Amino acid sequence: MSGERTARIDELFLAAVELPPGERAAWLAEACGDDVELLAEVKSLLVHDSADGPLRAAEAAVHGTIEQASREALVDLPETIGSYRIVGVLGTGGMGTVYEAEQERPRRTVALKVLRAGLATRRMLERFEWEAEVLGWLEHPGIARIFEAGTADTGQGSQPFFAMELVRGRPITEHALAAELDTRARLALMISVCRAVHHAHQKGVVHRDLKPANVLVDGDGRPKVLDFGVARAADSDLRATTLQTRAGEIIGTLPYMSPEQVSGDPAAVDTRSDVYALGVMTYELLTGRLPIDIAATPLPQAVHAIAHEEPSRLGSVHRSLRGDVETIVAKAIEKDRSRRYASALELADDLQRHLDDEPIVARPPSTFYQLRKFARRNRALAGALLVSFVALAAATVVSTALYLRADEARRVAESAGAAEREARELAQTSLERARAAETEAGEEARRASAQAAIAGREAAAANQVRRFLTDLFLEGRQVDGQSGRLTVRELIDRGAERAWTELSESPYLQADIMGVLGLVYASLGLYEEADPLLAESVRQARNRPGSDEHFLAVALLRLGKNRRDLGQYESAVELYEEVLAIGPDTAGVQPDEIAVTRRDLGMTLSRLGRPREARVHFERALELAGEATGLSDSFPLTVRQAFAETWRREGDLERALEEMLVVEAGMLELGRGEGSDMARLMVSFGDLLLGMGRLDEAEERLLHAKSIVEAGRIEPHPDFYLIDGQLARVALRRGDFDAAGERLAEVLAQQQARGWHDHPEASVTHFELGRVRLRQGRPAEAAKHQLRALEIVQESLGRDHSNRRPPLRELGTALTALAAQPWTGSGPAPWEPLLDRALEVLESAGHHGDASALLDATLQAAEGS
Amino acid sequence: MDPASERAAAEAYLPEIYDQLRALAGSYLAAERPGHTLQPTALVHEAWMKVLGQTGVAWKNPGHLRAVSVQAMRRVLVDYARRKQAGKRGGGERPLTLSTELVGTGGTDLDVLDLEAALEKLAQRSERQAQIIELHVFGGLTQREVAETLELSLTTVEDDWRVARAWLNRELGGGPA
Repeated sequence: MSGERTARIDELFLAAVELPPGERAAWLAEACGDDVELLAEVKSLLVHDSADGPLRAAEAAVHGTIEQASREALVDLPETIGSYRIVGVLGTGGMGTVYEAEQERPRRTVALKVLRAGLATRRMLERFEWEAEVLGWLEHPGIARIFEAGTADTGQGSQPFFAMELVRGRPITEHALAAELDTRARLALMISVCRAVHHAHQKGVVHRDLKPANVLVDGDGRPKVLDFGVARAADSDLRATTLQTRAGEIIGTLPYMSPEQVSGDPAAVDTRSDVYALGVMTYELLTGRLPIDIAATPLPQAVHAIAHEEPSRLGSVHRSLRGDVETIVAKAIEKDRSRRYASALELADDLQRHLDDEPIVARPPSTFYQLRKFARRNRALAGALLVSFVALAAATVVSTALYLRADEARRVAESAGAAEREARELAQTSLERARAAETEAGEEARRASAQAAIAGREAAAANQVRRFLTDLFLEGRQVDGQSGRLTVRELIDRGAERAWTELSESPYLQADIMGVLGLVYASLGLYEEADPLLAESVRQARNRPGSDEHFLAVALLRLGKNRRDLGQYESAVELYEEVLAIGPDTAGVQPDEIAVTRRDLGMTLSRLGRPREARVHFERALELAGEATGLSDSFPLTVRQAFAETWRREGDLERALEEMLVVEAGMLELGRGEGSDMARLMVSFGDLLLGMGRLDEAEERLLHAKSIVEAGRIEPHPDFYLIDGQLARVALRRGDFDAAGERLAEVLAQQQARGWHDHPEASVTHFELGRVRLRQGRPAEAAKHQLRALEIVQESLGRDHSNRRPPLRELGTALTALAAQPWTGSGPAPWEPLLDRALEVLESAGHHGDASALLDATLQAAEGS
Repeated sequence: MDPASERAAAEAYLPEIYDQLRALAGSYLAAERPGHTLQPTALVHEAWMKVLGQTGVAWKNPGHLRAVSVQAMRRVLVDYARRKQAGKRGGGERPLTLSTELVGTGGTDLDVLDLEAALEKLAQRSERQAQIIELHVFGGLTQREVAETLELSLTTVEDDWRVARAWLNRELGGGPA
């Protein structure tokens, strides 16, 4: 049948089914004319137009077959393997097949795991038989017993097999869901699993493939660990077999593999790799999520993520899991195995201690712990200290990152070395190709080892920095013990002084320390103090040899951020642009750092009124965020927030609002409703809503920001100083002067606490508070505030600065209002000393005209009263 | 595409396609009796091997891969049904079913082979119509998903579907007269 003919049939059929059945025959006869065959074909199809015909039956047959085929596992069943009679198939995978089998003597049903023929090499078989001996020793109620391990000839050559206890149960995660276990019960379950695993460890057997599918919970609620020792017996080299041959199964296994496992070094895998897997399982059991989400991530990126990406903390998924459990799990899944629990038993014991409400052994990093004890003895300092801990912790993270980088570089060097060897082998068959490859591999090896050298030096420097800071704090603690008067500020000041004087002999260390101390000042909100240290750090970085571009980039970024926080936008832009000029290079800047730089540069340009350039950088930042690892998952949202702020500055408020709502929803979805990104978003969003006159919504956001900041777990940020001021403005717009007055008084108190007695910002607060007091009918206070505002403006901005007019005007209003009030008390009226003081302030700045005008107005008001 | 980069491309889609295959097989096993550790892995694995074993196929996009994996699943099932038929006729192969307890109460294998024959015939009439039916029946895809996979409009899929259904009903015999 020709295509045209078919198309015609289909067309007529589809048109006819739209008609009422009674009209079809006549219409068709008309349409087909004398083409009798066409008419017959369409009519015949119309007769079979039914949803419930044979096709439906065939569909059901297909589904039945799928079910049947799945159950039978599509493999040819042998009748016997060794002395086992095969009953059925329990599962099949890349590694082999698991049969349900019967043993004659003793009479029992077992699970028989037979490894695929192709996987077993001679050497493996030899080792396997030895392993089999060991596995027989494992006897523990929490471990599926291995009855026998051996090899059998199945006609496809010698195949290794395990006969083990047949466990009828569900994977632990499914069990927890189905049985609706609470957190305690889940932890208790994991404790049993840990103890079972520890038993095997004591016998020298490492599991190496722990995952929920290998931990089944039986009908009585008891967990059993399957496949102990199987992975080791079967795989000589995980990288070769797991990542390649077992392509299909790796998906279920990878998330539980420790960094040392994915790095493919079999010698690095020990009991602590199992501790890691147990940690991941605990995490998953408690939250239903994996600590590092690599679902739908291509293999190479997934492997990279496991080695480098920081897992999201338990408490960020469920707030109720903050504290002990979070600390315990974090310790179990440390990337560096020497920081994990040394054994599964230690993990079990700590979980048990938590359940028994006893203090746990796991601690956040030890310097932190010591400093916390220090803080406890000096409660007045605790808040401020916490902030500097964050900075110190950040320094530690930086150094950890450097270690990792060193590690990574070494691995690159190693794999480049392997590539070189491979190149040599190839040379025997194809000389020419090999030469090219060899050159390339050699170059890569040289590059990598150069990078390793840099990274190694950086790591060593980071270590020194940490020691310097720790010494400083410990020293401070001794001083504190004697006098109890040392403040954090003094501590840092002393560190800075030592950095300038004592360290000039070792410029590398000096630059590092200055960078870190600058960061500490900045994190305390002391941007002015931070600036010279950060600038010096940049200067020294520029003088270093060219290979150290990464250090320079980091120093530039820090200084740039500080300049931005100081409001020196032009300078910040220059610094950011210098970072981008260094560009992505093996030894230069990492993609995640470039993404952050572009965002911050864009934000600064936006403030400078250069929205177009800003948007280009935002877009590049978003692109990079898709590629780079190591960025927080909320990073793209912060870029979108920057987009919104830019639209707002351009006056497109509706669009800004829309975008902000999206960002807000995104943050909540990520479970980031309580972090510093959220706090900054809430300030900015509140600001936008306030500008749009949407007061209730604005207030809601600002209060949310305030609650996050007051919880005190985040670093300070200049934006946060604005929160109370903005809340005051919300109150003012509502005409609620009492509330506004309270807020403004709070702002003023905060500013004074920061030593901003003469800061221009303080003059604004005095001015606003003065206006509120006047509206509240408190003219004396109003006059005091305006006088103070005027004084600050004249002193800090210059005696003729235009900002002096508004407070001067308000001062006049307040004073005349005060003077107009009848005074019946004894002594001078309240306005008199105020007027004296005001005249003094004006005269001292040479504003004689203003002084005499104020005098006249006030006296007139007083006479009229 | 050369085999190496083809393989790399396939691996990039690997998690998605594997999940898809699992979902295909798994949805039919949802009513699995509890306490049993049987997984649809074997079926998936076999289909997976067929997908990976395809040479000379350029992996264009996930939609294309979805179509390929459904095809693979179809071939696995048809092979299975054929082997079973051969066993029933005493063709010398060992019976595959050793534990009657495990066998489901699904349809007859003959229906699957009949459908296969009918689909092949339909493909001669219209390849597109045959593919639409294939994706629905062997892949469990909705009409909308079929449209996305084949990059067709929903109307086209609905129309083709209706014609093909009538045609197959007739081919498979009977139906309401």
